[in-house]
Amino acid sequence: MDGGPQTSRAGSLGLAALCATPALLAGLALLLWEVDPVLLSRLLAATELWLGGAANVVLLVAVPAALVGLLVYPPAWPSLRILGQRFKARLDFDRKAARDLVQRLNEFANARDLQRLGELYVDARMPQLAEPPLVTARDSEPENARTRFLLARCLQQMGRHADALVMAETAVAIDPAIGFGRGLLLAAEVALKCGRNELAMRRAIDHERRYGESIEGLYLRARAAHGLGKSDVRREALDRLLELPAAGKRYTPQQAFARARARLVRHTGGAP
Amino acid sequence: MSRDTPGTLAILAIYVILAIAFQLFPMNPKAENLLAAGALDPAAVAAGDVWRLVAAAFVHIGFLHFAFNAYFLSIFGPLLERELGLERFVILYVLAGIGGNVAIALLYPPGSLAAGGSTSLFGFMGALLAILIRKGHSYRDFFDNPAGRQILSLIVINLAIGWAFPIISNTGHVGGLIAGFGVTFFFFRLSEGGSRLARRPLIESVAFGLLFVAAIALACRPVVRTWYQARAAWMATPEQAPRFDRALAARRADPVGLRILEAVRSYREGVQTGEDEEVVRLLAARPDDLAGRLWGLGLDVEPFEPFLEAIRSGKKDPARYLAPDPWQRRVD
Repeated sequence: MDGGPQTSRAGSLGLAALCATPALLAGLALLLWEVDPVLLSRLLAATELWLGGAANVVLLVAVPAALVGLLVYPPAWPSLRILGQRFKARLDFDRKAARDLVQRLNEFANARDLQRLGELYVDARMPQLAEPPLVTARDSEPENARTRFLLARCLQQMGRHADALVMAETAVAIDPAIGFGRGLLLAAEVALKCGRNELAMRRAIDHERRYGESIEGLYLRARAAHGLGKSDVRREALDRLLELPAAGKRYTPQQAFARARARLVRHTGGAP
Repeated sequence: MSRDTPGTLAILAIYVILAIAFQLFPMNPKAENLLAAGALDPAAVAAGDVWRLVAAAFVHIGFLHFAFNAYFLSIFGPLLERELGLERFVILYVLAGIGGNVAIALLYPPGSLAAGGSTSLFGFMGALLAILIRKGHSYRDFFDNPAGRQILSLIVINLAIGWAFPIISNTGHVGGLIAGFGVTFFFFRLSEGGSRLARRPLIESVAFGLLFVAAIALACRPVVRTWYQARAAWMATPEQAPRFDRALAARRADPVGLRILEAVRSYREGVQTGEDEEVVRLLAARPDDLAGRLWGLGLDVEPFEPFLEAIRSGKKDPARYLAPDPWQRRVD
């Protein structure tokens, strides 16, 4: 495994404080009961006075505050857009096309139709249904980069990142231009998920060499650099991705998310 | 479930043995049988039955309760036992059970009865969450993992079921969930040790350990609960009593309830005044008033009933009908 990200000291202290604070308060209460139960009762009465409307406070203040906080949290809106995009992909799933393909495959199985069926399911984010036809297609045409790329996407959606990495690496080895660069980005993404930061960095740089700078590529590069502890490379990548304009009318949800995260971590210094 | 998961089989066997030995399979088993088997009563824990914090995780209230938990145990048990190994699996079961029972002991009124392995089974779900989170390279990976989303959905659905049926103790479930998650997240060494999240800093483990110990101590001595303070005032010696009375008064406890407690206590000490006798006579005539006032102190009137009956029927020496710790149910 090539270098893992640094442990967040602030995160550890935060979690420790979260556990230790109630423990110390409980210890204090037990001690006070022995020493001065009247004082403990006074403190409890004051707390109860404050928490008397706790339920109302939670319902009327904390929940709306959390919602507002979520909405002002920069990556929240892009995340919602990504969710909407996935929902739309599911709605756009062409059942008729899938049914026709299945019917054709029942009559005459061929790698091309298996691949198309798998692609329909992968695009609709139905990885469990996509896997069997794509595996069969790969077995009948092992050198087909597109099938391997689709299978990598399918495995990524299933959370099987280690398998997805092997598949994505094979796909880009057969055809580095697969998916017009999306293969390289996918390989970088799953390499990050597997903790292979060095490999992710190489794939992000490969993508940049072939297709020029892109928000997605720079974001992956910044994440890999963070994992490798190269803070100057991380900062440079984040700065550059924020300067890049949208290719179309507006940024895609993924690009908007990357920009929001970049803006956030430039201030907080955390992981992109 | 098979021979390679002896821990799951052993726990299941304990479920069955306890249910048969204490006749817990009928739909509504007797409270005495449940208490004898190890069911949890916050007052009993406060009175020294600390073992109930563990035992209650093996006791079930009726066959349906047993069947549900045995089914869930047979699903999650082997999964976790293979992942964690026998020793850590058993430790997880026990500690998650303690966590859930501590939550019940801390939040339920005295005299409540609670039991069941579901505290530990929620702890299993918490443990699965912790394992999945620690296997990722960042917290965000967890949400990308379909297994993680499925476990979260399962927890939410089970908690919703708990909220829908008041007979189910979600307090215990949440306590078990937190304990199971915490124990696995902060203490267990996992086989995949590569990621940042797989290694936990010592300070986090120490802090969670402190929290766990403090929660158990507070369950054994729930000094923040009004009922425990009233119990202390009841059981105090005449010298200590004014101190605890003042503490209850500072807690803004009902002054009439306090006066009643004081009057009954004076009978126990044999130092009752004419005013105390008048208070007790009035109460004996109107026991509902006593119930309402004691309820304000978080106490149940039931333990005082023999005493009040003795007053009503004019029996000699009614104080002998007062129990030394009237808030603890005893198994004869």
